[in-house]
Amino acid sequence: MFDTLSVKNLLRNKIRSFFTMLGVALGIALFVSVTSYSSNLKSQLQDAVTKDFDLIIQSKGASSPIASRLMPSEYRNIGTIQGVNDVIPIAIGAIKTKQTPYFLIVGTSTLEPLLNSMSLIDGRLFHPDKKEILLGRRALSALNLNINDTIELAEKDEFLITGTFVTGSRLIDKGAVVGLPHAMHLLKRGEDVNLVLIRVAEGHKPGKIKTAITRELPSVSIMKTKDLLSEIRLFQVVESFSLGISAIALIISCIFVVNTLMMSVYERTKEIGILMAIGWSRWMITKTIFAESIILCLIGSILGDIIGYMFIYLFSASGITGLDWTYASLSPATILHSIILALTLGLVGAVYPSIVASRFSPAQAIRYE
Amino acid sequence: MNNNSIIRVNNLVKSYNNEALNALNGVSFSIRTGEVLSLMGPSGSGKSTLLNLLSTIDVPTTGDIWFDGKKSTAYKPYDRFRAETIGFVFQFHHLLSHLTLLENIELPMYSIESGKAKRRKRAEFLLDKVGLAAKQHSFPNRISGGERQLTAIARALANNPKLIIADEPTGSVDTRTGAMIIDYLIHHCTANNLTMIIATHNNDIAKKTHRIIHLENGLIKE
Repeated sequence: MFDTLSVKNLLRNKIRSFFTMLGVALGIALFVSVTSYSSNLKSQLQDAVTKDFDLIIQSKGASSPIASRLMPSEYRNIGTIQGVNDVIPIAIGAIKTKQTPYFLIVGTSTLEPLLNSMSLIDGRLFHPDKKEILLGRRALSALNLNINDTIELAEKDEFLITGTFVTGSRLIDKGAVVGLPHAMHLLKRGEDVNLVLIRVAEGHKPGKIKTAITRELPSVSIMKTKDLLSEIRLFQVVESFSLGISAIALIISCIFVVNTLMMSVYERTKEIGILMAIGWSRWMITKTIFAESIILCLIGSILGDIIGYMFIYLFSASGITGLDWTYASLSPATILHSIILALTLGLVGAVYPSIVASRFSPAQAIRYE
Repeated sequence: MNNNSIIRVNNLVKSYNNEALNALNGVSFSIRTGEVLSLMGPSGSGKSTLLNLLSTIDVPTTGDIWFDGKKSTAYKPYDRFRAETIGFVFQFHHLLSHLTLLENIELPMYSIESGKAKRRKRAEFLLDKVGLAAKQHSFPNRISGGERQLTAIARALANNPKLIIADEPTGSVDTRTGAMIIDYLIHHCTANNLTMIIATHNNDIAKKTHRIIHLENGLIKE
């Protein structure tokens, strides 16, 4: 009923309406890009470690797997616990090479348990004791190398590329896998590893094994692999920060909307008085202002989704963070959230202006110049 | 015209600035159904204040107004009452500049008629009656002053009101157009047994009405 009138009202001052929509769009774009990027990052890391493994051990209080340090004495006896099938220590970290400032190295003592989640697409597996390396498909292509070429990972520290793999995780596929001792050397870890991955034997429940390990090794932190990211403090901080930034952006957008509507209401004081004189109720005036606010915010949210997608696309493609294994994607859930947020923004933004407008006295408003 | 009072006003007082200024000082009169009444008086005599009170867009400081035998407060919160009962013609047309003539006429109908097709049909009928059918999609700034005022009259008639309140309806148009507008309004009211109150400075207009009330310093001058 009020949509046509509201659209016409918004079109009366096209530039102001456009800038308000842009304000809303930028708030939504920030929300969309931060949320998408953070969830994208999470899913990449989750994919990288959770396939085929049930439990993961890291040092207590570590903010992330990269920051975790586990001494051999802390995980040596885990294999003796009943129900534990595979225990795989992993060293993981990034090194700087001649070709790239951020090259992910994963070190493992054995490749066999990893082969379910890591498909060798060309070449052969490496010998953990030899200076051999498997490169992810994306790394091989990005570094413009071939199988049987060598790659220098540290000064005069060359590795023979024996094969290439794909895991589905863009993070791992942009890195390399080497034998554990080589990774520990390259990452300067001494004897420490970052994580221990555990596969539970068939017929055993991960929850019970987790309890048994916790009892046995109270000094480490053990979690189910599916809970990894929610347990990583770094991600909790990143998520809180993302939420905070988004909230601030949305509050600013809301102020934009309130300001625009207030200006519009004051400019239309006389008009509102006339409408009241010819029989419009305060509720009808309120509805018109709410409709204007919702239209502004919904169009702003569509624009914001587009700007947000373009931003994460450019951000991912530019590789400025070194995290070029992330990719641009906008999930339907994120779009839905952005629309719900825009609606909320529209509703909240319209409350005060509509109260002001509906309280005008028609006799005074008509005289307003 | 019959003898039933559509409006009865009893000792109406309207003060501003904490009673420092009285726009009306105790006005009493009644208007019969179908009567066309003109309200005359110099500027500041209280004509517009009285019209505001009669149209319920303002409330009296003291005194009562009765519509159809009921105290005006019975019609609170007034918007529905205004939409259904009163047609307002302002001195300046007060059409919304960003809406077409048709859309302007539809505005009062939003309060009581939800169907878009019905609203549109009624607006087209009214525009046709005031001779502006060909300009229904024009905007107010594209038509003459007289045409704007005719559109404002069509808007006032949108909901078939029983009472038309016109505050100097010819004040912004030339004499010839003004006479044409007044003739149209009086003819329409007489033909449909509607009551109309016109505030005017113009004796020629006042003479065309059934009765004249003179206001001076907020009082009826006998």
